Amino acid sequence: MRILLVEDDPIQLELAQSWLEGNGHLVVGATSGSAALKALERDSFDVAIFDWMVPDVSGQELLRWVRTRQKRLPVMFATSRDDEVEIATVLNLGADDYVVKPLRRLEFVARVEALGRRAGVLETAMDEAFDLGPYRVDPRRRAISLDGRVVKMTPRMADVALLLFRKRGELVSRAQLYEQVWGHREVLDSRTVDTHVSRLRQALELDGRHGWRLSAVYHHGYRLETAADAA
Amino acid sequence: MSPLPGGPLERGLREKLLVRTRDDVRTMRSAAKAREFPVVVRLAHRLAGAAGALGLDSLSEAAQALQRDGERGDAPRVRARLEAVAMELERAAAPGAH
Repeated sequence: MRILLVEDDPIQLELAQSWLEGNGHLVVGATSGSAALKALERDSFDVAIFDWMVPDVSGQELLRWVRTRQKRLPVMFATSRDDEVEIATVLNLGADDYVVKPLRRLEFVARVEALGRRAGVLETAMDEAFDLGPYRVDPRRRAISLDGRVVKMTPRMADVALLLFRKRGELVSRAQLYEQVWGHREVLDSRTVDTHVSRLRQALELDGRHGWRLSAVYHHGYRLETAADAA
Repeated sequence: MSPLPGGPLERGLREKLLVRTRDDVRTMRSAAKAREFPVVVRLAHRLAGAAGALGLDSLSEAAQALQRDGERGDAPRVRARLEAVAMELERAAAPGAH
């Protein structure tokens, strides 16, 4: 899913973002209400998560804005305490769900995904095939085609490719790849990741000739970007 | 003591939080002295959320109690709660704590 996460504390934002991204979601973070409004105006999201206490534009105002312009966008609030009045206020204002802080990884991710499922966006967003120039990315079949021809890949390579295509334009760290594709939290051998990425670049010809380039970001990881951005 | 959950990202964020909280405790002490309770409430709220999410439960609980007393504007209790937060912070920062 494509998720807007509004949280004014950079530490909590980074943490919650990593939890959701760890489950394959694409997260756009905003540390203020005005940044959230800008993101909502220029982009579309499957789910939005607002902190109740954000600076400059309140969570209440954000929710009102969403409900007048994007009625169907599922909204979850993070509230500071398990207070009946506060929770009732949040829900009466039109929020679809709430989660009480401090956030806990498993509960938080499960609630966000449950909200996505209820709204009917989780499966479609995660599984829907999409096109990027001559590439067709089909998560359900774990397949990528180039100019209509399915490119042969090992399942592991396909998983790396799907992650990079989903996060196109973003820096994907080796640790992230290792955790999401191999299921390990620590990078045991970064050459494993590098080898898979190198093979993938070759197999999919991600060297700029088809408009997309898979670039290495020194000491960090990889970014799949348009040839124009990479230049 | 059981080890705290998480990989390198969580460990890095915990370090960052502990450094930031030292500054925040100083700010909250000055604010409490000046009876600027909204400042205390805002910083305590932020600390409670971050510490809890990172598995520093005692620090989070101390911050929640501070936030509650800050909202009530109870100066003596705010001062006492602030010292409890400072103590939990030192515990969390002690070598081997995480």
